[in-house]
Amino acid sequence: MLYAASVWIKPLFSGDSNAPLRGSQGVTRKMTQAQRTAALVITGAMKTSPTDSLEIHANLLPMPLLLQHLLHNAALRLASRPQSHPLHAIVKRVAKRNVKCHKTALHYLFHGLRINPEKIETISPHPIHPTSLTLFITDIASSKEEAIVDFQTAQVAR
Amino acid sequence: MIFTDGSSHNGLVGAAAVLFIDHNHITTLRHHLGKATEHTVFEAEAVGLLLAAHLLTQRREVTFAAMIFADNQAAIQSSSHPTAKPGHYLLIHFRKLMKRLQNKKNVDCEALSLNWIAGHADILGNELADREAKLAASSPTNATLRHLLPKILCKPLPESISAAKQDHNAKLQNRWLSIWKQSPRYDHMATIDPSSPSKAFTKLTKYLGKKQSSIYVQLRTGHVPLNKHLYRFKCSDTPLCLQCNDERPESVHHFLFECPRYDRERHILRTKIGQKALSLQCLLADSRAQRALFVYINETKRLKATFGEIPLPPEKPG
Repeated sequence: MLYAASVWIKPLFSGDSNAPLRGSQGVTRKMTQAQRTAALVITGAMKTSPTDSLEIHANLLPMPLLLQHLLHNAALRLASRPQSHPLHAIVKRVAKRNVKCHKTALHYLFHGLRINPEKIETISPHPIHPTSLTLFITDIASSKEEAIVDFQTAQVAR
Repeated sequence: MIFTDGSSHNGLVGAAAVLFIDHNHITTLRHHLGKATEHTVFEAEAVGLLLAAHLLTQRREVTFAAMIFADNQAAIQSSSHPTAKPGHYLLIHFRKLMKRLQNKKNVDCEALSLNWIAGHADILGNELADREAKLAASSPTNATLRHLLPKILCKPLPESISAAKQDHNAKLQNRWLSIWKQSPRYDHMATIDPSSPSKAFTKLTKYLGKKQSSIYVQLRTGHVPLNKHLYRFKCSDTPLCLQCNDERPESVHHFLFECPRYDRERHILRTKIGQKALSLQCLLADSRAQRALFVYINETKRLKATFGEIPLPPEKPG
C-alpha cells in the first residue's frame, strides 16, 4: 500500500510545526481509513471506536506521521548515495536550488524536509574488496569475566 | 597498548584514545564529533579506533606489537568486515591507516590486535579512556589540536544517517503526543495509561488471546456492549442499567465499580488485588490485575452474549 510513497506523496509537515502542508492531505485521509481497518482487526475493538484511540492501542503511527517517516528515510537514502550512483548528480542539483514551477518529487522531498545532501555521509555499496587480507587480529571474549582475564594475561606478558 | 572509547554526554559526542607503554600513560588524543542528533556513539567508537591507529603510525619504534582495546563489540566486529552501513566509512579509513602502518613499519598482521574489553570493569586504561572521551564530548575546546589528528578529522565529519533517523523518530513521537493531547479522548485515556502513546499496551496484551485483548480495548475506550454505549447507536432502548434498580446509566464505570448486582463478584475481586481494585488505572493497565479482572467479567456474565466464556490467563503471565 505504501510502495514508492516518496514518489506520490508530498511532505506533510515542515520543520517542527504541526500545521499540515497542502498537497497530499486527501490521499492521507484515505490511507487513514485503510489503516483503521487494520487497527480494528488488531485490537478487536467495536467498529464505532475512534481512530485515534485505536492507533494508540495498536501502537500504529498515525498515517500522516508514518508517511512523513517514510519520506524522511527515502530522502536520507538518496542523500547518502555515492558519486557513482546515477541519482547522485540529480539529487545534488535538485537540493541546491528550489524551483517555483514544474517541481519534481525530489524537489518536494528535499526542500520540504530541509535535508542538505552535502552534509550527509556517503555510504559506499562495496566498502572493501572481497579478497582483501586480514590486517589485524580481532578478539571478542565470550563474557565479561573472560575479557578481563584475557586482558590481565596480556598485561603480564608485556 | 591503546585504549579507545567513544561516548555521548549531555547531547554531545566525543571520542578518545589513550596510549600506554609498559604500564605508563604516554599520550592521549581526543576528538569532539558534535551534537548527538548528528552523530552516533558507534561513530564515536570508530573515531576512537582511528585515533588509535593514528597514534601507532606516529610512534618511532622500529618493531612493536600493539594491542588496541575498545569496549564496543559492534565496532570491533564490523572493523574487520565493513559493509554498506552508516558510519562504516570511518572503519574503512581505520583499515587504510592500519595498512599504511603495516607497510611503513613492516609489521606482521599477527602483531596488531584489536580486542574487546568490558566497559566499567575497573580497568585503569579503559576508565581513563572513558573519562577522556567524556571530556572530549563536553566541549570542542577540549579536543586535541587539529594538526595532531589524522587528516580525515581535520574537517567536521558529515552527519550520520542513523543519528538523523533517531532524531526524526523522536520528533515524530513528540508530534504524535501533541496531536493525541488535542484529542477529546486524551483525558480519559491519560487516567488509565499516562504513558501513551507507548508500547505499554502491546506489552500488557502480549501473552493474551484475541478475546482477552479485545475486552481490554473495549473497556478502555468505553466502546463496549453495555447499555450506555449501545443506546448511543440505537442498539438498546435505554441507556440505564437493567441489572439494578438505581436508574443509573450502564457505563464502564458503573459496571466495574458501582452496580450493586455485582457486589459479590466485586468483593472477590477486591480480596484478590486489594484496595487498588477501585482505580481504573490498576484494573485496566496493570498485568497483575489481569486474571482477577477476567474472573470478575466471567462471573458477572454481563458480556457473555458477546464474548462467551473468556479463557483465563495463567497465574503468572510469561
